[in-house]
Amino acid sequence: MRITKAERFMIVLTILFINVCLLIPVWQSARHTQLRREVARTEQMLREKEEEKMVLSASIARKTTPEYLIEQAAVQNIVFTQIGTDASSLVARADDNVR
Amino acid sequence: MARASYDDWNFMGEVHTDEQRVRSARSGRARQINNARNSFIFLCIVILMTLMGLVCIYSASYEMAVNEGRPHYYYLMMQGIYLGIGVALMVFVNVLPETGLKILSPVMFFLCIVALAVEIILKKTLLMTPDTVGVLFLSGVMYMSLYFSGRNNRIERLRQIIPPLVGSLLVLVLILMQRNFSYAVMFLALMVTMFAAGGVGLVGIILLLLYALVPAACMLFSTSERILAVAEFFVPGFGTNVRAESILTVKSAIASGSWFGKGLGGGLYKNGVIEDIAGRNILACICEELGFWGMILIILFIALYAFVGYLTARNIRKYNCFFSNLATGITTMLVWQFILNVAWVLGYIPGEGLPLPFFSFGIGIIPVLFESGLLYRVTRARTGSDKDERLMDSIQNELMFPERYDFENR
Repeated sequence: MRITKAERFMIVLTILFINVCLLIPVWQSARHTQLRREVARTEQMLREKEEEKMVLSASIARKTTPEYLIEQAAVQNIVFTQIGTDASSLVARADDNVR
Repeated sequence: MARASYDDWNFMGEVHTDEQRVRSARSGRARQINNARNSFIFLCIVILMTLMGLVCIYSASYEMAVNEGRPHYYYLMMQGIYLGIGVALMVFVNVLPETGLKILSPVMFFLCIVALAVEIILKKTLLMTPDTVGVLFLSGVMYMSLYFSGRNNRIERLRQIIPPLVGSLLVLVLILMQRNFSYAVMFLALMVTMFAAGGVGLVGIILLLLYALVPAACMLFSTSERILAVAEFFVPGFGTNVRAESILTVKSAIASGSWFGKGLGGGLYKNGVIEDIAGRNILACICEELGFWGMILIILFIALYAFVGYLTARNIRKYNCFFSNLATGITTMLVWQFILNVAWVLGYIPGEGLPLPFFSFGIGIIPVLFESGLLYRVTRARTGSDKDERLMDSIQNELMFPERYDFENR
């Protein structure tokens, strides 16, 4: 039995097609693994940022207490003097309560 | 009763029976068709195994690539580059004339001996790595093929085998000087095959092996770790095998694959559990993902490769000894490499091991494709019967259409 050129071409194409079919699910699996790893990494980063944010909020909260203010005033040798209402001016804060 | 007829086209004026004419015409044509079919089947096997190897390497390596922070197709891309070089070499070998191959054979062997000597002097590794040692084996096979074909595969006197014997011993000593016993054994096995193909009789080979036995035994028992390795082979758990843990893990991976495997890309052991999983240990990944039947399929491909290789060697033996010896040597080398890899992965033999041909990641694919290119060249080579047939055709044409040929003015 002689195999014609067209048949040979078809056979080689079939081999290529079979291997491409085998490659596609592996490619999907690999991409899935890479994306899963990226999601895990991003989630880890988000958790770290959240933790950092909480630490910062706690630090700000601690630093706004009167106790801390008095303590730091003593450390930095600052004396509080009472000022009259006429001499005081309103300073805006980046806070939602103050417009 | 067979009818006898005078063959007008035959200058010798011989009388042929019809059956004889039909039979001879059929056998010549059948051989021609068989050769063409064999070469095509061989090419298909090579393409199939190379592509399947690529898929298996990708499947075994993407976890490793992602863990290293590289794109998942990094190792696939690298293997694609090695494959490109291998295919280029394959094409080169197929366009190179036979004389070119004959010149290349001793040059390659000489260069390999020089490289081995340089390795010893500079204490650097050039050829003695699992990926590159195939070049050394191939050069030995090519040189022996050429030498024995020069004597038409007929060795009648002992002095005729002195040059290949000296060359083989030199390479063996150089390998053993680097304390690599397993590669020396592989090289010895290949040389014995080449001597057998080259016409050295069984008695001669047994005598040569007996001569080699004493120095081999001395080398084997010269270091304590080799004695322990041999002892452990006979009494499991006797010595301290550094690969013991790895072998156990590999066996677990193979067992977890069961009959049909976990599917390509579904393996769990490739995530850094087994070292060099895409390289020499890829068998574990293949068995885990494709299972027992997948492994049987790969064994069948290798068997088909070997069958076509040996069949070609036998078919061409009468017409071209060089190609016949080459086909025998290359096929034996590839089959040995496959068997040794399986044995090494399963822990049945010590040493550094060899990559699984077509399936392991690394530059080991380049010599494998070079060998396959050579074997494809051999399957495509025309046999003497083809030449006779073409000569007969031209004579028939001249007699049937004399007006096409200007005989008088020649």
